[in-house]
Amino acid sequence: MIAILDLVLRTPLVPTAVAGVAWGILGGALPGISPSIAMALVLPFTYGLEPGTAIVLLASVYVGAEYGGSIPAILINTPGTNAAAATVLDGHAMYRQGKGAEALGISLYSGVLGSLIGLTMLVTLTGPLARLALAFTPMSYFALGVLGLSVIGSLAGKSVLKGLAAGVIGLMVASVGSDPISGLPRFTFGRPELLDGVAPIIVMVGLFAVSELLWQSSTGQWPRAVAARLRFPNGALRKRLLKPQLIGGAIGTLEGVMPGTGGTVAAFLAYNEARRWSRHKEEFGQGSPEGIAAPECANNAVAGTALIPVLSFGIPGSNSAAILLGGLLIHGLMPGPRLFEESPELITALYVGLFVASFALLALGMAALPLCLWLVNRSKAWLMAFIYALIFSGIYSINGSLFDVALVLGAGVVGLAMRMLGLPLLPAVLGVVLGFLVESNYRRSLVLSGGDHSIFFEDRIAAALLVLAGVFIAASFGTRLWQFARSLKAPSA
Amino acid sequence: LSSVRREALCSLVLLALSAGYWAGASRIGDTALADAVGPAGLPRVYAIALAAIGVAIGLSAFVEWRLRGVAAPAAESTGAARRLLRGAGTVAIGAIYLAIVPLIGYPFAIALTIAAMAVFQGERLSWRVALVAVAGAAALYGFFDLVLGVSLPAPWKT
Repeated sequence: MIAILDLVLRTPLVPTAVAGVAWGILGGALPGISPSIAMALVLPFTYGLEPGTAIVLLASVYVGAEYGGSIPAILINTPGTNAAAATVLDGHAMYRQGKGAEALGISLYSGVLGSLIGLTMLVTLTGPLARLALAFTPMSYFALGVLGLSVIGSLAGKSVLKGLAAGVIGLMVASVGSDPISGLPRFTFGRPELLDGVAPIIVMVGLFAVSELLWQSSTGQWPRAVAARLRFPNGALRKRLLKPQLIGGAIGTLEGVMPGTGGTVAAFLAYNEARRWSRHKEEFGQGSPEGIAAPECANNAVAGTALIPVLSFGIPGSNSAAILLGGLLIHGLMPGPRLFEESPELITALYVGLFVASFALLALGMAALPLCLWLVNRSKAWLMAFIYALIFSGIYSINGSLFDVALVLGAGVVGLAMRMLGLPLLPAVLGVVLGFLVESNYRRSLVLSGGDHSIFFEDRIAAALLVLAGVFIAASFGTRLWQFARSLKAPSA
Repeated sequence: LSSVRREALCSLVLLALSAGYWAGASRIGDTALADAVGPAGLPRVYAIALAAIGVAIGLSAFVEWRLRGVAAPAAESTGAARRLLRGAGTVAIGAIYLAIVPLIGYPFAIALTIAAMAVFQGERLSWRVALVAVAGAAALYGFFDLVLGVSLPAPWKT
């Protein structure tokens, strides 16, 4: 305890965590600037900082951005971050019903809870969970990707067929770039910029933010944000939210520790599971408070638990975790068990910094809201103009590439076409996020087995995950069939 | 668009996409490093899956057409055309930005983009629009280039 107090008093840990959260909320709230972009933008500033302070700054930006992303998701139907895409469904529906203040309050409350759950898991379960992640084989990773894809049926909206079509389109986009086994270029059209594939962030910003702008360009003025302040849930609602929050926290913990998935998949899975276990299933998609609580708790929990494989094995589970890994390497710190032995003060600083960041999120989440409301209440023409400019600037800042800006514009056109054809966007995003994970590990597994598919059922973790995916798919189709049967009965009743 | 027409159009688009993707997968070269699945293996599976889904959507549109017929309300068709035109205008502004930014640099290009978008979305062309666009561009340039150190396109730097 004395060491922690000394750390807090001797180092600029607290102001760094507060500044990181503030920048994270602002960055996350701006469509086009994901947590990883927000973190990447401050990365150059960490050169001159102490390693512990630098890592706290990056991790705090991550925490702030995961919440910040939900603000535009709720207020203007545009997720500020990838992980906030699941929050759009019910968050914006609540806003349209005049419950924007409650939606923002649930998001912040669940986000803080998720951060604390993630931090608790990070501190207490690093060892056992890291050992579990260490036991993962390519077969397990393939099965994990299939599990992620299995929720497409639930995210498909009115038509499962269209959801599947969108998912396949996402997988197609994920196959662009160098082949994961042989290195041969695929669908690159001779462009060297495409050899590394199409970054999920570009697809997501294009599909969600740019296509939203294209869609909105033919609509009238946006409704003004009526939420004058943020309203935390009352006792009865807090009790109702506990189950989806625990589901979100549990899924966020598991997804965070498993490389390759991250906050987006965690948010979608948490949303799906919260709906499955809810007593108010019919409210999901129509403005359910549980539909905000579960994904927000999950993606904020991931912000903490995603650090477990990074710190333990140097395996980044997401873009943001990769930036954090870059921050460690910049300061000459090699992640792994030796990091805990050689730099315990850095680990302590990170834990304390994340704890401070969780509470700073609570305070800054409320304080930053007037600025967000002011922004949302500007005229639609100016907002669209500046969002467009911000997207172009933010995307350019990732790689300094105008080609990326052109890609994001192209993804926006595809998103507009998908909207007009009634194809849902979320399954396509899942396909893009999980495509590489699924293909690379599927093929690595078959290389190991000499082409024998039974290897996926000989690996116990993989078999369990595949069975779980099968249950999800069967449950989705079962629900659809049940709904169809009810709709047939309804007219004759 | 009416439900039937939209489903039929969706079916055709998916079939065209799967055909194009299949053609692209067929052009992926061979290598001695390839595994049993090969670099074109899963892309071909994706193309077949998308074609199958496209056919299924087309069949469901056909069944719906036989049962209910096609009735496209004129207002919906006009709305879709307007949406496409407005969307194309917004994309054109982005495309012009991409074309001019290497020539005139980020600050001027982004100012023109902001002003063009604002006017396209309904603001009246005025000195106020020009002032806000220039101020916005200066703020964005200051933030990204000067504060964050992102090297934005500027021909005068080279």
